[in-house]
Amino acid sequence: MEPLEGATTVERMLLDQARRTYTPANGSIELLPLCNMNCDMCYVRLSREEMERQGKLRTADEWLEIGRQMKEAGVLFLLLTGGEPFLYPDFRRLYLELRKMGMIITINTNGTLIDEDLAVFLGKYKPRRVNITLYGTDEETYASLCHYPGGYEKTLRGIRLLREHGVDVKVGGSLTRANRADLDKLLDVEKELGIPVRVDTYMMPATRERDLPYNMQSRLDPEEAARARIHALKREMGPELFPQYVQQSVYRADHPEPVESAPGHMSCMAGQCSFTINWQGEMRPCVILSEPAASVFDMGFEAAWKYIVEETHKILLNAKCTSCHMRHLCRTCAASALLETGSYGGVPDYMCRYAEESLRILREEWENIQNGQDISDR
Amino acid sequence: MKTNSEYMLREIAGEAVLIPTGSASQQLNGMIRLTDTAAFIWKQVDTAVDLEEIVARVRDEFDVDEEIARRDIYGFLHELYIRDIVQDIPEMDQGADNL
Repeated sequence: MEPLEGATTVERMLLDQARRTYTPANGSIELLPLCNMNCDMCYVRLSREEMERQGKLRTADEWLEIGRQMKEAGVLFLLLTGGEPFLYPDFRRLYLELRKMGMIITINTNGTLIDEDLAVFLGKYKPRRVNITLYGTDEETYASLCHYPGGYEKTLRGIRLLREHGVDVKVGGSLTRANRADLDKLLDVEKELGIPVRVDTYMMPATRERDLPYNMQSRLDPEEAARARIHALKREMGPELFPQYVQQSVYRADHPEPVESAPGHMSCMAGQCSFTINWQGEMRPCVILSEPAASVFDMGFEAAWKYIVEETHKILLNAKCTSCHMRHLCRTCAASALLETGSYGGVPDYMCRYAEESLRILREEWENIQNGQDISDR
Repeated sequence: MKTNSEYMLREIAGEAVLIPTGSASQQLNGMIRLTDTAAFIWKQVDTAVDLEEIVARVRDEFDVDEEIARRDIYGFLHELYIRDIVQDIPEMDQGADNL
């Protein structure tokens, strides 16, 4: 999972520098587990009753105290998420105060609660971006998958309102067996609404499905996920960039840089310059990993971050993955290895098949490019 | 001469960045990365009497030729001034190109 999607060159430079110095420059706060939708695949949402059995929401003032500690520690990019963050009581005050501390804020939302008033507010006090998840391309999917009839039109209205008020919006979608036929329709939204769309085709296995064969899981099987990913990349990159991507990907697979075959540390930013905090105040390296964890309310932000950095450094990935010639095509990471295989050091069969299929398709594409054929969608 | 109070200078992992807060994001939604010298100049704006005092302070801090320092300071602050990131600089009203 990319910690700061669509980062600019300066943002990436800052994050690289932060990673070298173990500065927690990038983080997210899951403000609440409540949501007005109830998606089948959601791993965060709780009903109000379920939430109250586990604890109570932290107040805006409690988060602002953590905000002051985060500022001191060097937090710059902060993602506010949920649940549905616009359901958080006092959201606007919290948002404005965090911005006053010099945080650059991104918001993850389903978009359905954005009305004219909220769009005016966000247009005046702009976030870095609002990321909106699109779960399908019609009301049927919103009713069956999200149990929220009318959600599709409300989401589109939210996107339009934000754009009218000059707020940057990015749409993200996930492809599963249920909406596999919608890939092109999801990608069409980019042109229709004039906003970037990113469709992810790899999904980590749901806990309850982990032991089922791939064809019985709700996610795509590895080969279909690879094919859909490259199809989406081809459309996203266009005829200028895609051939370069194909050439570089095939070249890197055929000419791998010599790497010592030893268990590797995590190569992403989690626990190095990036963290997440859940609604109860538990800090973790990323949203998927449940361990290591430390409470920012009990320990304070700085001590919790120090603990996360130390513990993350102990996580080692499989040596086979570290030196694999398809590493650049593979999506494995500590969280993926853990969820796919049950251990950080496992080699996820799903990802090996995904990377092999990706390379096979890219070789075909490269052959076609060299033969001067138009790049056609298959 | 003063900095716009809606902009905040922060140091993140040793890098200086200028960040819009409040409604300043309507003019600039992002951030400006500053060099060490630019960050030093920014810190002088609220306390210096005029631009020449900033030139003197920069020359005290950095080993730089006076004319080059003056040109760079005026150039940098002019870019901020026309974007309302620094304010009330009488010299800028006369047009920085003539300075």
